[in-house]
Amino acid sequence: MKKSLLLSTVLGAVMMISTPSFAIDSTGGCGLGSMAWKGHSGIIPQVLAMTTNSMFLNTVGVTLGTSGCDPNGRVTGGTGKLVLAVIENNMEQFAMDASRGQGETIETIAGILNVDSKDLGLKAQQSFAYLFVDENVEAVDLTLKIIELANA
Amino acid sequence: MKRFFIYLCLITLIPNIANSTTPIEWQKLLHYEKNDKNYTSLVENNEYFLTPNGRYSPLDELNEAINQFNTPNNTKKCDFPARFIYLKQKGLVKGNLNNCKDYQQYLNDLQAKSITMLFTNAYMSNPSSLFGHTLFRIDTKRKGSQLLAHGANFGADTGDETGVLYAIKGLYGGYYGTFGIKPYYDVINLYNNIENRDIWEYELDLTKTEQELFLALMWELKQAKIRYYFFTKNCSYILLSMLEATRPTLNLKDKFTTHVIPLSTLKAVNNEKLIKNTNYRPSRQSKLNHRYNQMNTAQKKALVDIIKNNNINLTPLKDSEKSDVLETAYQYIQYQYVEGNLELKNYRKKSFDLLKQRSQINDNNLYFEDLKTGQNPLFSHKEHSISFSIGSKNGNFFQEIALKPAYNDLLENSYGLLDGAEINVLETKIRHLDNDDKYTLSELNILSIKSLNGKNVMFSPFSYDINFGLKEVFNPKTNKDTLALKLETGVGEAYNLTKNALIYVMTVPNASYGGGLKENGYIGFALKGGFYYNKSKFRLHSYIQKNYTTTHQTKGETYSLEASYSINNNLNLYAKHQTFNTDFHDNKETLFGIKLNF
Repeated sequence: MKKSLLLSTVLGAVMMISTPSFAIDSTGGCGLGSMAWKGHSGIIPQVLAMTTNSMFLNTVGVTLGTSGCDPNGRVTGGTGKLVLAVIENNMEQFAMDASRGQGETIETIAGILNVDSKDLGLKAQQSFAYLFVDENVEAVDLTLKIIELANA
Repeated sequence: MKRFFIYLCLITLIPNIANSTTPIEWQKLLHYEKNDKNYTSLVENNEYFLTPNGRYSPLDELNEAINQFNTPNNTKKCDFPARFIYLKQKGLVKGNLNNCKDYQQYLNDLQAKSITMLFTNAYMSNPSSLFGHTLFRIDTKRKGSQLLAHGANFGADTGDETGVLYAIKGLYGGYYGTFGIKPYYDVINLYNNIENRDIWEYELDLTKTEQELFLALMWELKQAKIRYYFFTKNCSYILLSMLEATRPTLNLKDKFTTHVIPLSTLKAVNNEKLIKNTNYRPSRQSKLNHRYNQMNTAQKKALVDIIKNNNINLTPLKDSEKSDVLETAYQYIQYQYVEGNLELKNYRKKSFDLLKQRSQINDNNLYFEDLKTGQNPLFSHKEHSISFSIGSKNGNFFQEIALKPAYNDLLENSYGLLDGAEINVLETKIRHLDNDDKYTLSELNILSIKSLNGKNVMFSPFSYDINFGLKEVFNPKTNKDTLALKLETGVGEAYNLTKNALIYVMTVPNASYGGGLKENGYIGFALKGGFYYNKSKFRLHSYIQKNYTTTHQTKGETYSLEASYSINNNLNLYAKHQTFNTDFHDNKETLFGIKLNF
């Protein structure tokens, strides 16, 4: 116990000195910087998701509460809601997977819709220009289109 | 009469535990820890307990749980399903959890298949992430992929505090930690894509019954407040407590009394044969570097043209080469945007242009995901070290023993750890000098943190080198070495020469304090240039440092050359030669030794 107290004191002193030279980022990690995900509010994960996935950004889903993000931080709901959650929170990966006709997001969406993932990938690639008309694509719209493709 | 019967049952449950009135399974279930004869749960808030004294009385809690769970229409079992499951297994309560609507919804959302422990690599840009991080993943049996699984993270809720207060509170338990659950795609985004840290996925070998209990425990903890201590009761420690509650025959926490390093907890879990599958999920940065190294010259040229000059010219390339370049460039654009180096408008347009071209190429290779193997952190060297060496200082022979509780330095085998990263804590060196037959403390390296991170065409990380400790300094008055406290904070840049070699330059403001120094101390400024090579078994580090200080006593140049060879991950031979020349005095030291990690 004494040993750990000494260790703590010493390191605390050093961290005080050294802290300003680091970028303190409280998003993750084990210890001082690790922050609870605040899963109860659901705000942080959404903001976080938006900072990474703001390509063809959709904020409508988040503000209207149609986002697939559950306040408990869980994946929940029926197929449409799940597909929206995947697309909205993995937009940049989904866009790339659609352009090449395969990938983890395609497999996931195919799994949710219970269709063949190779088939869905092929359709997504062939219909890329339909899915992504320009750079301002919106997640809800994209979700409707991908479900339509899957059922076609 | 009924209650009496229950007590009898309890007594039969506890065959071997002296001075104990509740079964060990129960104690672990509520995270009680025993100190002398007293019990205290790691959880502090009243909501987690059924009785006012619950945190300190496992027996009160047990009785009350049996009592309440057996009371018709009492819904407390829905808040504490793990306790219910356990008591039901023991035949002490009746009924089921079918009417617990929220709990059933939780299980239904998770659709758990198995439990995985995640390890995320160290992150040298954040002092709190230097040692990596562990969390759980509740794997999903939903069709498709594990994107719809859930991460379960124990973290300190620090609010917006930073700086000194934050450090002190973190060290002395000023924050509460809580468990948070979120979809695995958010975990991937955070670690792989924002912080650029590799994720290692270790699937745990739990039985179905244990898994059911684990999920119930996680549910109970959603309202728990646990005091968070950066070095001891941190994220990894609580995860061990969770595993002990899940399988009470495990004794994982006992091994970690002074400090808890996430990677070491993972190794402890592995030693219990709890890990059955390993999967590697490299960070975006790892994948980008890997792709770049795999590309041919024409591809590299095309890639650089896109990311530096915004010019997509793929005509000299074959289709398969094109798709590789387009995907890699696209991912680099995403990286730039996350780093804040690209405006939204520009970012959208670039991303869209690249993917439009990619969609017109038929190519079934998943280039960007072809990095499948890495150095498994489970097999990295152990955290403590002891070394023995012999050497000579200015012609005087000495023997040295050095001890270090943690963790890794530039000359230790970096397998499974970050290349070019060093974190040394409380390294203590004791020397026996032949000429005066004395044992002296020759160095106390309280903390050193280094990150030598080479720049390349895509990434421009900064490098740093911070040292704080007691170092020997020559005292001209007494003609002897004396100890002085010294702090050096070097910051600079490193450049990769090859995959395994880099050079670096740094500016190093420094200061020292100690009785042997003129005016008891000095401040100084140094320029440092070095070379570092690290390839599997062999490492070499050399540097030149020119020091300007407010006292002539320490003004001068240092030349240093160190090398080491690994017999295995935990055993290294090393050699060092260093000279330090000042106006007063030249210091020359050479040593050879062997270092064991344990």
